[in-house]
Amino acid sequence: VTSLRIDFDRGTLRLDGAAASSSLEGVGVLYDERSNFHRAPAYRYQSVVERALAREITYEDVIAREQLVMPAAIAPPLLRPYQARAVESFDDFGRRGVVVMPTGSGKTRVACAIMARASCSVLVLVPTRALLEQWCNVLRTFYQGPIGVVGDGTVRLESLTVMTFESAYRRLDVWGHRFGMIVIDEVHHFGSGVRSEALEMCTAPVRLGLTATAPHPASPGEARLRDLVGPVVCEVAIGDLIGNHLADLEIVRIHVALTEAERAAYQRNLAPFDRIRRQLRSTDRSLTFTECLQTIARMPGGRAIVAGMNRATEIASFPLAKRRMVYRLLQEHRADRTLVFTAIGEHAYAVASDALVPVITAETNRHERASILDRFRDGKIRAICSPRVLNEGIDVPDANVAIIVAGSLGQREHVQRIGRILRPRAGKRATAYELVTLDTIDEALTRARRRRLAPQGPAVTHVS
Amino acid sequence: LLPRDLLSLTSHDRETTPRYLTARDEDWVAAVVHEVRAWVGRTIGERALALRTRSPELAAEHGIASRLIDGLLHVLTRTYSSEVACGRDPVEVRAITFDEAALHTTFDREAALARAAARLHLDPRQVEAGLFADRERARRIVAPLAPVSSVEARDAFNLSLVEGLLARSARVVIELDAAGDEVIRFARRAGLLCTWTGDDARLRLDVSGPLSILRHTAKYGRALARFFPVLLGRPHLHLHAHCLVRDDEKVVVHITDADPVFRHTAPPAESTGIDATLVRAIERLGTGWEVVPDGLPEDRVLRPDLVLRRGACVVHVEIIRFHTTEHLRRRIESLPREGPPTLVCLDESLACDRAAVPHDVHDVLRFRRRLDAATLLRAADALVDAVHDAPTCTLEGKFFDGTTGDEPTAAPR
Repeated sequence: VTSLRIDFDRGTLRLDGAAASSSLEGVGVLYDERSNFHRAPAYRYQSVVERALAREITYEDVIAREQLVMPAAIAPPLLRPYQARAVESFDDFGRRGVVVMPTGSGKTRVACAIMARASCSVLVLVPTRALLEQWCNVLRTFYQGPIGVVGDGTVRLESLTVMTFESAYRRLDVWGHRFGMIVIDEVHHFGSGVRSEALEMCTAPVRLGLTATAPHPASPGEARLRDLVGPVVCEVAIGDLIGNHLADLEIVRIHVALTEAERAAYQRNLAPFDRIRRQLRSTDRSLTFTECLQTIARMPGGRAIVAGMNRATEIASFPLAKRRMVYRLLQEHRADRTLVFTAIGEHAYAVASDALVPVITAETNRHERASILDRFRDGKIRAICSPRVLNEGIDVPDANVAIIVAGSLGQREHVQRIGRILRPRAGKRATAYELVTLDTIDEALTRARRRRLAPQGPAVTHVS
Repeated sequence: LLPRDLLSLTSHDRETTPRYLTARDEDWVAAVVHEVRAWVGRTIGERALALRTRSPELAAEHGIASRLIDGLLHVLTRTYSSEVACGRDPVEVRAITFDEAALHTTFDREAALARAAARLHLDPRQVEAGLFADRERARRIVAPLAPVSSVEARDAFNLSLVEGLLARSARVVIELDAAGDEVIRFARRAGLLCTWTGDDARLRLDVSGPLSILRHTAKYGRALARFFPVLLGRPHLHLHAHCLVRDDEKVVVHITDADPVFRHTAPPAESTGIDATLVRAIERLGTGWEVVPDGLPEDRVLRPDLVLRRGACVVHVEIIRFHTTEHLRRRIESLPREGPPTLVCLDESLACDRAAVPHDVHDVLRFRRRLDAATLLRAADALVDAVHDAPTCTLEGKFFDGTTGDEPTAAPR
């Protein structure tokens, strides 16, 4: 006689039976008065089953019965040593966790190898429509069965399905129990925000997260990912792979100065913020920059002060000297394939207008973006300029030069950008130019964002 | 409608009302109207940049809160349309120019522009100007057909202000003369989540605000805002909206028919609110079913959304758009038990909570966004058959799946 029935109900576990209340404490089970049965978040499915087994409770598992069945096996891909280590490590951690590897190092192959070992239905979540297609193409090389797609106007569910984050958020309350494994590309997006409910609604016991940038240890984002997906099971840094499995990389840091007029405008805009920040720090030295920013924004007249600081940052991000330097570097590297990264869209348009290179921003429509990337791939155009759009989520063709004019999203953005030029090719040597405005906030931002590449990072050349 | 940070309120005797623009604001309103008009022929980006600086200056000159100036600028700039100022499609201009610029080993900007201009049959300066002419901020501002007067500007602001407040409401209660019962029909046909009570003298319409639901809040907020003009011109009206405007502080905003927003804006033309395309499609199908114009005059409030007639057979159609599980249950329970059978049509794409339709609710024709005429009539046929077969138990056990366009099935859920 079964004393527990485990079923899936609108994105949660429905637990019926005498054992539901007494034996399942500590795995998130609560009594739902509205429906008169016990519920638990769907992602606790594995814990509930393990608890039932440990307590020798006889149970009926409706979820296991309703999981999709793979009609064909996934062929395991050949792996490099560090990829094989990642797969082993994932198994060692109980097949739940996050694999951190740089862009271009073959995260997708690692995922395919783990899928092949798991031999169960798999749901792959991706952040963008571009990655939807990219993943399908890769999966087709290892899997002969039908591949489902949910997103970008298509709804086709199969035992191996690729789905956008947005679709997952809207649909996993119905389909969250159909898969034995879930793979989450760019998993760092789930560290906060309501979209992480998608992972809560999925029962898959095998959970793999992929990212190029691990969440900060002991941060709320890291705790959330640890709960929903698992701990970081393997972390490979760019520095570990450069020259072997990734292209050889040289970083050239070019220091530029503001003009007199720019310096005056910079100081005028920054001064009020700087003064109050110093006062705040004198009373509490532990205050971070972000905490100061938030405190000042809440003060009377604080918004204007923060707006001034933003204007100063903008001046430091793209002064005349940087604009001229980008133009010059683009001429020097006309024979190369160059990606130019700016902090904001306006700066990207300025570079595009000066050097007559295509620009991809949030304003660029899908067709034009595809056309630009195709022509870049074919070599008809040699450079693309973009603020954030090329950071991640788009299959950018191979490039060997990156000009980082400025960034606004810190370490994660920087690692993603550098990763864009590291795709390995015989004899390839990648160069990343980092433009830094002297004696401005730009210096601090540059220092902060490159921490993740150090200490075993690539060689750096300084140019003034 | 005005965004949250531009909503202005005022308080008198512990009663909060919208901060309307009236004749006392004439001077600065005229100055702002003149300021915006001066930007015709320039780009949206230039105007935005200039007005960002000009707005605090105008506020200081006239001693007015900058929120009011910004609010009026927000409303006024939207009355001006814009166009792409380029002889050719900028996407084509870009593709040709960037290809030409990449052609040679050495870069000569002027030569690249000249080659692109030759291919596009334009002047090089036009090519340069047209490169990013389709960007929002590069579009050129076009004057409206008739210039906007300061009175019209005030009216437009007042309406946007009230609509913006309703879009930030959790609950709206409208009290009006019983003669205004058609307002209730409009509210129902707008798909709003509402209940109503009343007697011979007064009616009270209680509408859920967008902040009281979990899904489609923006869409529902716009629907509620679009409904508001239906109230204009109704006498003896009192509306109070429970709003969340700033700092998560709830305020009850009072609006009466004596407010400026009622005085200066003409009420909208009377409309049945029925989807005219659906009515035409029903007629075109030639199945014998016809739409009875304006339903049952003797009970205007409870008049169904659509009355279908074929010979002696009459079917009432209730179309439910925005819904929560609770609201759906309430609407179905309120359907008349006697008289012609009622077919409930439910737009599944507008579910405002995550819950499904209650299991014990049958006889619902589900659709997404557009109600298909053929599916509707098939469901009406099945309903009439069911009533004839079992007149005492009416419709129990019938379920129609309108999402697939399949024949209605007799199997219950």
